[in-house]
Amino acid sequence: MSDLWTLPGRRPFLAAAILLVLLVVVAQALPSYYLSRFNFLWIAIISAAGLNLLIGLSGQVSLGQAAFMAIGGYTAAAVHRYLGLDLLVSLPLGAALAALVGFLIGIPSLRLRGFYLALTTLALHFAAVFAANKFQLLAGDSAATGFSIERAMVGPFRIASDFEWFVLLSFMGLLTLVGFHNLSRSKAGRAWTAIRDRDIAASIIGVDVTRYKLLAFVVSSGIAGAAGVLQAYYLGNVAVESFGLELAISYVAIIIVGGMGTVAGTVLGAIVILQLPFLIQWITAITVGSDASNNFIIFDLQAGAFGVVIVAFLLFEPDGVVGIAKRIMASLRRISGSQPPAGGSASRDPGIAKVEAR
Amino acid sequence: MTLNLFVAALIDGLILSGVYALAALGFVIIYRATGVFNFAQGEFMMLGAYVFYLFSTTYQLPFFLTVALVLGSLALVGAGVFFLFVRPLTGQPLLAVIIITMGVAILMRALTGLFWGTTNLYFMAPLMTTFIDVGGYYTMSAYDLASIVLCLLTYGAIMAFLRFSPIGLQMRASAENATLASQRGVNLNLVFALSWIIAALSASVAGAVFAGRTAVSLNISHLGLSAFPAAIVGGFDSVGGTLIGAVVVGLAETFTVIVLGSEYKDVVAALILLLVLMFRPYGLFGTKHVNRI
Repeated sequence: MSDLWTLPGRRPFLAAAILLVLLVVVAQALPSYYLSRFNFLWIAIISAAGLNLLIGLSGQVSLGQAAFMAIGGYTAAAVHRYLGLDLLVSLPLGAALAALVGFLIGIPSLRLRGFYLALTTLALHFAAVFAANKFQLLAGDSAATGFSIERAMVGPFRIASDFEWFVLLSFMGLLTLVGFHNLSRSKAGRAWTAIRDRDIAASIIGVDVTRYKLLAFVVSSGIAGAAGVLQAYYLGNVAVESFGLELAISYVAIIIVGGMGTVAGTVLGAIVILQLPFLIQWITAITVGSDASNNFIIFDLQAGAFGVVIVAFLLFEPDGVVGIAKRIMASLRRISGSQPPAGGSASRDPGIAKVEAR
Repeated sequence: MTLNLFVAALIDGLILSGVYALAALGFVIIYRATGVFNFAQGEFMMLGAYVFYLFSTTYQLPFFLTVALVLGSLALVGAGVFFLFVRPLTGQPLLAVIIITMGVAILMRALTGLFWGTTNLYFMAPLMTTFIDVGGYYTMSAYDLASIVLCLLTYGAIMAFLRFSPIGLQMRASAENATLASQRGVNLNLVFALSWIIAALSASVAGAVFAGRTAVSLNISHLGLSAFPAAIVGGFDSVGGTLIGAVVVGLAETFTVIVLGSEYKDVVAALILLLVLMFRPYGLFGTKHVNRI
C-alpha cells in the first residue's frame, strides 16, 4: 500500500509529539471527571477522522459509522471473552474485520452513489445491529447488559485510571490525526479529492476510480473499527444500544459542523457535538433547575438542540466551524491592514497547525 | 401455521403494506420532483398520528373535521419544511440535503416529545368496535378492513392526481426535466412545494392509520426507515412499482416475524434492501441509469 504513504514532513510529527507532551502535563492537573470527557472526545475524534476521510476526502456518503464501530466493539468483546487476549490483539483484529466489511460494502459503491450509497450503508447498519443483537443473545448471560470487559491491558501494562486512558487515547488520537493529514497529501489522498470533485475527469487523467473508492472504504472503516475497539475497552461494556442510528448520524454531524476533509474540522466538530449535551444540561439546570423530573425534558432539549445545530450549520455555514474560523482570520487580517497571502487560505495548511494552536 | 393465523397475518401484512406504500409514495414523489431524499418521512407519519390524537381525543372534534384539520396542518408542515429547510439548500451537495432532512427529523421528534411526552397515547376512530365475520372462521375488525381500503384509496387518489390533473402533469413534466418545464411556464417552486405537501399528506394518513391499530408514539417515526426498502424495491422513481414494493416488503416482514420471531423485523427489510441494491440497483420497476466508471 505504497499509495497510502508519502514521506511525512517532520513538522506534523514534531507538532503532534510536542502536543502530546503538553496534553499529558496539563492532564495531570485535571480532575478525573474532565479527563473522562476528554477521553470520550478522543474516541469521537478518531472515529470521526475515519468518516471524514470517506465523506470529506473521497466524497462518498456513509451512514454506517455506528455499524463499523460495532464490529470493532464486538470483536473486542469476543477476543476478551473467548480468547482472553488484550488490546494488542483486538485492536488490529477489530480494525481488520471492520475494514473487510468496509471492502464488501464498498463494492456496491462502485455502481451506486449519492443517496443509493447512503441507503446501502443504512442497510448495513441494520444488518450489523441485528447480528450484534443475535451474538449478544447467543452468548447467554450477557443478553441484557451486553458484554463487559473488566480490564484493558496493553501487553504487560494495565490501563485503568482516566489519566492512563488519556495518555493512551491522546497518543492514538494524535497518531490518527497525523495519519489523516499525511494521507490527505499522499497519492491516495489526491486521488480521493479528484474523485470527489469530478470522478469522470479523475478517471480520464488516469486515477483508478474503482480501486481508490474501495480503498477509501477500507481505510475509513478500519479506523472506525479501531475506534470501536477503544470505546469498548474504555467503557468496559459492549451493548447493542450504544450503536444506534443516532450515533451514525451524530458522526456525520461532527463532520458537517466541523468542516469537510480537514483535521481541524474533525477536531472542532467533535468538540461541538460532544459538548452540546453538557451545554444544554447546564442551561436547563440554570433556568429550570436540575430536578430529576426534568430528565425527559432535558433529553428532548438535547436532541432538539442537536437537530438545530445540524440544520443551522447546513443553512448558514456549510463550511462548518473551520469556515467561520477562516472568515474571522480573514477579517482580522483586514483590520490589521496586512494583505492576505496570494492564493488565499488554500496555500496555507489548515490542518495540524490549527490543532497545534489550540 | 393454522388457517386462522395465516389470515390474521395476511391482514396484518396488508395493512403494513398499505402504510409502507403511502410512506414510500412520499419518498418517490419528493425524489422525482426535487431529487431529494427525505429522511423525515417517518416523522411526518408520527406527526400525523399525534395531530390526529390532538384533534380527535384532546379537543373531541367530530371525525371528518379531525381528518380535514389533520390534512390541513400536515400540508402546512410539508410546505414549511420545504421552504424553510430544503429550498435554501438548492445547489448544495446531496449530502447536505440528506443530512438536513435528518436534522429536521431529529428536531421534529424532539419537539413532539416535548409537547406530548414520551408515553403511548390512544385514540378512538370509527369502526374500531365493529367486527366482520369472514367466511365463518375468522373475525376481523372493520377498522382493519377500512385501513386497507383507505390506504389504497389515498394511493389511487394521488396517482390519479398526478396523471389527470393539469398540475399533476406539470409535476410529471418537471420531474422529467425541471429546466425545460420552467421554460414552458411551470412554476417550479409551486411544483416542488406541492410534492412535499403530498408527501406529508400521504405520510400522515399512513401514520394515523397505523397509530389507530397500535398506539400514538414516537416510535412510529421508525416506520419511515422501513419504508425505504419498499421504495427501493419499486425502483424509487416508479409510482406504480412502489405499491408492489410495499406489498413485497410488508408481507415479507409480517410473515418473517411470525415464523422466526420479532427480532428479525428490521433485518428482513434491510436484507431485501441490500439484495436489491446489489443485484438490481434501480429496483424492479425503476429507470436504469447505472454509471460505469
